[in-house]
Amino acid sequence: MKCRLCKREAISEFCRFHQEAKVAVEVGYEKWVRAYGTLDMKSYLHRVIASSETGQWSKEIARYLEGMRDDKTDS
Amino acid sequence: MDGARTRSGYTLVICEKPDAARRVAEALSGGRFTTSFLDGVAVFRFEFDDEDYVASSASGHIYSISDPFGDRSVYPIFDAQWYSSDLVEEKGGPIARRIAVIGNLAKGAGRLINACDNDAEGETIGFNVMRYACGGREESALRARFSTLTRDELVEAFRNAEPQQKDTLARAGRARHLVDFTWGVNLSRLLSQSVVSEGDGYRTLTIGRVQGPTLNFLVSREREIGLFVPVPHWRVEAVFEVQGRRIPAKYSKERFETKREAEQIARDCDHREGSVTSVRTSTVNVPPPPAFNIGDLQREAYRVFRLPPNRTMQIAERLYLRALISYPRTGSQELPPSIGYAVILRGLSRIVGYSTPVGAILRGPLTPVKGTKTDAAHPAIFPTGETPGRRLSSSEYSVFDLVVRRFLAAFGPPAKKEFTSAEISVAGHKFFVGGTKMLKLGWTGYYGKYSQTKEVESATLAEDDSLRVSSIGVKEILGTGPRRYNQSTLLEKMEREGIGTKVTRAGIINTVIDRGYASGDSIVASDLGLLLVEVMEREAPAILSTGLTRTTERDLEKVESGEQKDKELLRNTVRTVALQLEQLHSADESLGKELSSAIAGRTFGSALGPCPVCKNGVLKVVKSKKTGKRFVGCTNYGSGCKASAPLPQRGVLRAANKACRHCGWPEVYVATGRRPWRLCVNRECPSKREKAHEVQAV
Repeated sequence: MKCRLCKREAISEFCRFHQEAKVAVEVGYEKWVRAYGTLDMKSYLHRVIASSETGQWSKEIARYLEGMRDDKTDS
Repeated sequence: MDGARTRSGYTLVICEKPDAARRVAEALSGGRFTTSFLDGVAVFRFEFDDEDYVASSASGHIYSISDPFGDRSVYPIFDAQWYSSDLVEEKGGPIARRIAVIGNLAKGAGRLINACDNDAEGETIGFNVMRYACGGREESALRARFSTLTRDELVEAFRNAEPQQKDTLARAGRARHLVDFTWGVNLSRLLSQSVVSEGDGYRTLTIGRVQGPTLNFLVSREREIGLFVPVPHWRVEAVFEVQGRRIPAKYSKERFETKREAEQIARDCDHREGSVTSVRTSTVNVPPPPAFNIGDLQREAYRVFRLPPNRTMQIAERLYLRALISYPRTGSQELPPSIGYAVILRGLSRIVGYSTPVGAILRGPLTPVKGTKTDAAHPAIFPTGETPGRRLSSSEYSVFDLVVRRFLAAFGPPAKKEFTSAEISVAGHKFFVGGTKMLKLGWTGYYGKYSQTKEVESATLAEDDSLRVSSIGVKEILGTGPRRYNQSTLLEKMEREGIGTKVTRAGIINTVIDRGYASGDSIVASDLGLLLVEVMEREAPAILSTGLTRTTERDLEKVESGEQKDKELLRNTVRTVALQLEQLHSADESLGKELSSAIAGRTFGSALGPCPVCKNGVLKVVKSKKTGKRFVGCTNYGSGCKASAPLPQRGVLRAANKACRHCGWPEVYVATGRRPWRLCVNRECPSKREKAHEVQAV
């Protein structure tokens, strides 16, 4: 099975790097909430995607998660 | 030298390169020598101390290690031997002719002097020439050792030429070649053949005991960058007002992990009165840096001129061959008195631009600062004091000037810096205003434009001065991710980790780039590089380990000092390589599939190289969802980087893994017909503008 975000072999849903990036983005959210006091996931993802410092795999995962949230809101 | 003209035959001097042989002839004969060309090989005849001399040279390594098969599909290879390099590298005639000429000259020579460079490589080259080209005369040959090609040093070196005391240095040098060949040829053939077996044609893929860990450094960094998620922190910055002056100040705590805490301080202090509670001034002596060893020179040349380490090495070698600087392949940071400080300095004073600093140095005691690193064979790099006879190219002049200035700096007194810090108290909070001032230039004056002397003006404040916070703000800062290596920082990392030698490191970096495993000034690991490391981690992790190569380096040092036999080291190498091959061979099929896929850019999409606009993203081939057309875009597009470029819509594209030398944008190969052509993707590339002008002019 291929990764949902690239052509590499998937471990479950994603390849090794996108899987690790998913964990990094989720852990990052906890840190951002602690730093800001309160912050919703949508704003967090938006900021992470907009930052030029965010790594390529983390950015791709953040975009994917943002898309998933938009899809849920639409339905 | 006694026994003038009594020895049968002449003395044959063998240097490492033709330029060195000419220089030796010139120096020993006082300029009275004849040059002839035998089969295209330069031979210099002259008299020295009333004896007849003939000088000729190798041209670097004229013997190389290879296997008896000459077929790149055959492995494993454990019975490698020395062959003349023309057979190995298919260079044809020139090397065979050179070996024949040296062989003929040796027949008429009463004695031989090995005058190759005084290090392990030079020892290896000289040993091989004496053994294979001169009919096994390596034990009777004399050795002349020198660090500069100046007349005085060469005369002394040749008058004191002695038989080799021990051949451990040559043994270590030869063993290094054998070890590296055994690693390189076996693993590289396995990788290349695994791709061939997938039917994707031949592609040279290499990995070795130093290349593996070097690539691993790049890939590990690439992974850290790819996974990085920035986290915000905050800084409190205030501007104070006193007697109409505005003074920026920093809060005593540099970073706040929560926004609330930082904002609370800003609220507490906004428009409040404060007072200066203390003003502290301290002075620091900054000692001069030692003279360069080769690693320091390569790093500094990269910092100030952006010269790649390999290029710096080439230029330094040219300057050495012109007798302008000492032997550059040294690890030492020491300048011993025996080099003759005063003579060199007086020589330099005759060169435009150096007379003032030299005059100042000559008025004081001549004691250069020493670094901690030493080298038994050579001192640190120093100028010889000779004036460049003919014009230097701009890069040659840059490196020459850098070496001279660093040499002068080593004799300079410490620089003196003053740091001022005023503490301001506002509502129980502390702020600081700081400044830096150069009190005494010291050695930085000699080092000139290469010194980093940044001054920060400090506000004149006195204790108990009253100030008012005119504005205060909270600045959000997003954490910055790890930085990519450039050639200089990668070289430093290799040195710190103890892999490779001062001579080989720059070449290894070049190979990693040439193979397409990485590209760019700010080095980005390619998809192929990422995948190769992933495969090695899984199948044969020892190849990536710094531990293994470090152990080999230590063993080679033991061979050099005579503590270990070279045969023992070679046996251990064969055992380790055989084990790695066995592990990789069991995964041969999947290995070929994965590598072929990465070569064809099928694995991750097609990363082309680092983005020259935002310096942080990666340029990739992207397909427009709207039009279906392909173009180049930056991975930081969503973060505001607008770098993009159109691409040819027809033909097969492949990353060239090279940055354009005109603009730094990546290049691609486009295959539409029989031969692929290389293209810089930047529409605004100056080279394209030049071509457009040419067309207009026509």
